[in-house]
Amino acid sequence: MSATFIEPIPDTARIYVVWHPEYRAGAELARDIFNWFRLPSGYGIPVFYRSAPEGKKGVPPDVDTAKCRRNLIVLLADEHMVADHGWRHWLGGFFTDDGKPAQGILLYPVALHRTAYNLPEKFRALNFIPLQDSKGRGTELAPVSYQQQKDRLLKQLTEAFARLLIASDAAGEEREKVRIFISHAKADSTEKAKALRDYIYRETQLSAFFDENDIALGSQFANVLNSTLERESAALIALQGDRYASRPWCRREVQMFRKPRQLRETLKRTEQANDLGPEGRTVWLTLPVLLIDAMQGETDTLAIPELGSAPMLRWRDQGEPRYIGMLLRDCILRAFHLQSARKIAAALSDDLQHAGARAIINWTPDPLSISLLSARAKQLNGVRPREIVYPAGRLSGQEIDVFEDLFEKTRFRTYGDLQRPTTK
Amino acid sequence: MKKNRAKRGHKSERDHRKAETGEAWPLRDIVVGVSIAKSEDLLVRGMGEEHLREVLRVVCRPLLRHGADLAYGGYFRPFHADSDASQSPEINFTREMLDLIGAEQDEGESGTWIGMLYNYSPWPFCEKITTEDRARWIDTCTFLPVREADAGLAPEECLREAREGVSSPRIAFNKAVVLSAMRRKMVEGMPLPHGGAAGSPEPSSVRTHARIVVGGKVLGSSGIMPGVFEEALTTLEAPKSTPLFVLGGFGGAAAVLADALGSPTDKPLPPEFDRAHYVKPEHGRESSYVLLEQAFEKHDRQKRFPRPEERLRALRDRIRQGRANLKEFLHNGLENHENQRLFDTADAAEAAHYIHLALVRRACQLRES
Repeated sequence: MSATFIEPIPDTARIYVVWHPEYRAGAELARDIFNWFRLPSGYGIPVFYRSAPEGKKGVPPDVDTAKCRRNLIVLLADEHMVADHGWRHWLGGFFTDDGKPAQGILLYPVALHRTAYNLPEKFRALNFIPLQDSKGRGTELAPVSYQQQKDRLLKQLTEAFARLLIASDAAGEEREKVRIFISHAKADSTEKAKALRDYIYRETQLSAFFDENDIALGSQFANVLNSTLERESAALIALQGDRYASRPWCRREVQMFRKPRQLRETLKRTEQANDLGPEGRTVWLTLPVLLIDAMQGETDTLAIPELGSAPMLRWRDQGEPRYIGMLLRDCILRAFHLQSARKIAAALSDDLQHAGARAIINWTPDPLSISLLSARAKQLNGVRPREIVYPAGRLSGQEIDVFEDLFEKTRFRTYGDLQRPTTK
Repeated sequence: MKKNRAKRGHKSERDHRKAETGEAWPLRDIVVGVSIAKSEDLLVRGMGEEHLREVLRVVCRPLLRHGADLAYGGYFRPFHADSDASQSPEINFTREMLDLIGAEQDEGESGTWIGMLYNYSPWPFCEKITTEDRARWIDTCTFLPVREADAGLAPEECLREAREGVSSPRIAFNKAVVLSAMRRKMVEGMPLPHGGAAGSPEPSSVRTHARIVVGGKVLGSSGIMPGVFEEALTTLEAPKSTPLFVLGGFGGAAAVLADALGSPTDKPLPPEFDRAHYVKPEHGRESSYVLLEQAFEKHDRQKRFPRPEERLRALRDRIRQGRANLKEFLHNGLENHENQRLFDTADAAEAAHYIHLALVRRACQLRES
């Protein structure tokens, strides 16, 4: 089977970190944002910087909105940025004349100094991201260490980007809030699950599904869970205590969450699904799962094959910010890849695409999820995929070998492999 | 080839490669020189060192996986055994390449060729490479020291040591001469330390078959001209036709080169190709370029070695002659508009596509040349 190629597709989102050259910590914060959202492997959202002036202009180059339709501008607003007239004028370019952010621009100002709110007037209507406690806008900021600043910044940005990129479903319809499903076994004690739930409600703008609270008394337990898992939650945390693996419901929750779904299955309205054409049948998605090892080691327990290659962290007290942060980031990156997958699908028009024999996925493949996808594709499309297209950056050569041994008739290609500049 | 290289089998990917190119590892025995360094204008372009890391990885990984070796002229900064390059406060591209190759090899099982690194290490930095370093990286890298004597300096001219932070006209002269020699040896060939012995699978010498240039500073280099310029020039002058790929989207000397190559033939070259650009005083003191010229005057009255301005002129003349037909001038097999894309793009994946495509097309010719 000869390979199909398409012209490179533009990025579906980009992050720009903006700081005044006099702000000393700017480069380091920018690098931290790069490492968090782009990841050193290049798996994530492209991140660029705007700080050094371009030639004699004295300000950085403009953001080219023609290259990408969604540019997330993180402004590290310190006193230098506020006081620099040239910069104030340049920052005005992010707005239209009527005071709204320009087409393709989404602004996230970060208050690094009490004077940050003195940015040009158009900024003052925006919700600034505070990294330090204060008594209100314009008041003195409480001192914090660099690490605390960084942690808060990444947390706030992650939540903000999650609201933007995943708080609507595949059809672009708004969800109420980004919802995290907390899967746990009551026999393991609910203390940690409650700690997670409480953290989510207390410290974030997310919501949690926790069976004790979120299933109304008398309702059909199974129906509520199915609906929540299949339609309403953005991510699942599996809190694995000693008894988790032996609980059928827990395993079912993971199984349902990890099930690959065709794009058309995720749309609420049938006519939307039908309008999609081959895209609806060839784009597949899964939602992220994070496994937290909360085992006490008191009993033997089985592994949970349904978890596949889900990332795992060990439970530690006060670890909630890290768990939620990592899970949300995974949500963001999957949403980002889903958009890319859709664009790739729309650009393809070969036989594989029309036959539904290609699967363009928004996650890093693992043997279990590919097996499930293959079976589901046979059921829905009448054919198993002969080509799987996935986002690059997280799969090692050894893992690719395993796939090619297990799925001999299937070719695995990255998004980038498919995109090749034509030589005309 | 080294016996102990990791081998791994990509059955279906290998089958596809065979179907497309006739070979499972189409770039086997091809050595690709990489000139990459930070540039002064990286941040103006909206990038940092991490973007260069990404370019290196995205461009080099497919080459390695298709059997190519890499060559890099630069100093190797040893770290203690448990660290990797990403923990360093400052990027070191030799270490980045070693870590990249090591990661590719670690992930393999038997059956695959993964390329190696030839690290040309100029004096005085080569003196810091220890036996332990060589042992640690034995499966990943061959270190090729280029010493003062290798550059043609007489014994009485050799300093052997140059303490960091200490400078003198003699040190500046010797460093520059060694760098130039290193760059020539990369294209002309250099004997391998253990190659050619009876029964050894190692080749006896190594040279680069192609070169990629990215970034690179313009001012303040230790050589007779910006390193990327000199490596591009020696590539263009190579006795055997050697493809040159210029990635202009990441700033620095490579961007200046791209700008010159991509502009109309009647347009003047950028000022960076003129001596006047380098002789401006720096922070109220004599420029390092002027000091280097003075060092050449002092230590090379017989003119055994080419002068800085002479080499800059040679590059200038080549560009003027060659830019009307990029495909022939750069020998890289890409059409003019494809080279122009390489000059302009800041998309590492796009650059990697063009380079990979061109090298695979020409691999047989390059091996035989």
